Amino acid sequence: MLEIKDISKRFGDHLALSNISVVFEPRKIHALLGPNGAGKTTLIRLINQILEPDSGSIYFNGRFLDRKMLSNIGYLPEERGMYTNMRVEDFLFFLAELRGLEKKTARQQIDYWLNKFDIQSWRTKRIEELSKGMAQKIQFIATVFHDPELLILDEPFSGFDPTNVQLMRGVLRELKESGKTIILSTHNMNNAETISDHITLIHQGNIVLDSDYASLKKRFSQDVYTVQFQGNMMGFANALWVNYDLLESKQIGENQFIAKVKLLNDSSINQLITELMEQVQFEGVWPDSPSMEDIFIQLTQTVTA
Amino acid sequence: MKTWTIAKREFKDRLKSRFFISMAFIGPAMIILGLYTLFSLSGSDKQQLNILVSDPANIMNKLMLGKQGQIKYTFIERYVERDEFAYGSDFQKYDALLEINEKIISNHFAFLFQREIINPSLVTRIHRDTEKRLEMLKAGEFTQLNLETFRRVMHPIKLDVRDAYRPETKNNYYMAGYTGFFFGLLILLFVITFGMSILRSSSDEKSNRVAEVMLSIVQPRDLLLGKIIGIGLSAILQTTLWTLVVAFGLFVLRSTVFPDMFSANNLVETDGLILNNSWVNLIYSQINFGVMLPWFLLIFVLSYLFYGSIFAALGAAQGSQSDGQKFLIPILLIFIIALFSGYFTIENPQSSVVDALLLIPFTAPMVLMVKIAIGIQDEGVWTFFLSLLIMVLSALFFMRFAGRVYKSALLTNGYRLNWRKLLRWGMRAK
Repeated sequence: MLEIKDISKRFGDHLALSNISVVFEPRKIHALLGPNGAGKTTLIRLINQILEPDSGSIYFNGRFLDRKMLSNIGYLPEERGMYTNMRVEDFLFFLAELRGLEKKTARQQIDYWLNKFDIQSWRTKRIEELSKGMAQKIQFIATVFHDPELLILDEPFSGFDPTNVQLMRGVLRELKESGKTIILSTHNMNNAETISDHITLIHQGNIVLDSDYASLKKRFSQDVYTVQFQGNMMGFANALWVNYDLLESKQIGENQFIAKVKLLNDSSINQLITELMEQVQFEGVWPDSPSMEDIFIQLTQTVTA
Repeated sequence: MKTWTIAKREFKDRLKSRFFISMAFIGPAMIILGLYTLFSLSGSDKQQLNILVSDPANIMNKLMLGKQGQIKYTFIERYVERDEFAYGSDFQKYDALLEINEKIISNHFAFLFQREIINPSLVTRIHRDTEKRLEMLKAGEFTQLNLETFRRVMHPIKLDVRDAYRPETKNNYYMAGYTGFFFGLLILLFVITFGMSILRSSSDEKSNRVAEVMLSIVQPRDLLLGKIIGIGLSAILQTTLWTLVVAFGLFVLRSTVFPDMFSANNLVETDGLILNNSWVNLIYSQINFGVMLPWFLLIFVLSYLFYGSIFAALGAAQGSQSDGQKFLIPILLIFIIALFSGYFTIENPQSSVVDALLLIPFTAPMVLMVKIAIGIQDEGVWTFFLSLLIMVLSALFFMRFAGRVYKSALLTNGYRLNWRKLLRWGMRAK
């Protein structure tokens, strides 16, 4: 779908991107993560031809990316600006005309999306009258109404309340189902975790992680499980004499505890449960996978070090 | 196509602004009001003066006419003290006291005591009237000529200044020059007003971050061109509205307020000079609008593209509002120099400095308009067209320059703009 090949970009003395290569596969939601100043926005601007790379090339559907192909890309920048004195409808038609949409198609698309977000009544409102969240929806419509194959969304959830975040997640999933490829640049690890299929992490102008979500979870899994039980803590700890490491424990009620256990020496969760079964009464056992945030911090700290 | 879409938006945006609508009417209304004032001052509503002539020796009486145009002389055959004139109730109806002493023929000295400042041209008139009558008196005393013959002999010469190559044109050089200056001033006024619109529009797009959305759809040069064309079209519309409203206003003035100005009676010639309604004559008869307006439009478009590109570059390049103000001062200085160059051209049309000013795109619009108004001599034709060529090339250069600044600066924030940075952005190819 989109292939970034050996791209470098320098601004004066600052190397924003250092010879990076990454492939964004079709019909997936890709999370593009990285701390501030990592090079995410530079990469996005290069894809959108707003900037030109110092070296390297970008391919879209196997062909060298040029400006004509931008009609197949929808871009929602993080810094979302609009002509505040325009009416919502006029602004959308203006961008549709710039995108080359015929008036009839533009009207159909605008009607469709305004209905989808249930905001038909905003048509004649001036943009300056809109709240941040409302403006965000209008911007999103302007990003998708020309039916692009690739969507690049920079912090698409910022400014939304939890209900609207939920709504947007649903819309993004629908778009993916309909065959769109989505690149999601965000700081919000929870959102990245919830809807992404693939994670790309940029740090200091380099790609430090490029993996699908399932593999990533497995790779960073540390065989740690959380166990909640009724019984005696001493008995629980004694049962973990070999092959297990009790990382932490906490009493949460009368004879009720929660503990984190790490499996050692290729031991399995089944073995752990068997050994503990005689000592305590289980209330729950679940894997303690690292969150995206943990992975993010771990990776960025490692690279920085 | 995209450029045109952006231009349409900018054009509609200007049209909807209150400033545009008010400018379309207030501007021409002020011009009409100014012309009305000029017509009135040069027409029938001139200051009327009552002069008391204190002439104890009865030297001037019978020789000076009682009423000379705007001046009415009343003679009194005794001395009137200054205090008596200033505070005496009998003399309050007089505006000034002309004191003719008994020895005026030998000492050539007289006083004029004025209550309020009298227009210098009227003082000159009083001076001339007094002098003329004294000459007549001397003629009677020292020559054999009678009064009629003396008046005929002393009639002043009318000096008619004409173009050696076009003697049929009876154009007043200074008035033509100032007409060109006025057209140049209009160009600068429109260019600075609409140039500021370009600057504001560019810096707004940058500060409210809509630039990134736009640049992901269109190229920087499309955005720049669309902005310049859209705002330029609104400037042309504004100019057209001004022209139409002023033309209509002049027509209304001619047919309603000053219908008698065009009668032969009103074009009074005194001492060989047309004193009345010279402005009316200039506006309605002497300005060749058929020549001036097309040149005005062409030079306006070139100046607008030239200055507009510079304003666009500044708008895109500024890191903060104070940056814009810092760079506006030199630009305003350039405008003042351009205005002065127009005045200099009127005073020294054949100077080599004027030829140099013609070749500088900042001053060329004003100098060109003055040159066109006063007439271009054959030997100056090549300089004239070279000046136009330089304006075209400068406009193209600065449009390219602004395009590069747009590309580099529109998405860059958090810096203080300086000339080096601006030049670096504008000159670099990538």
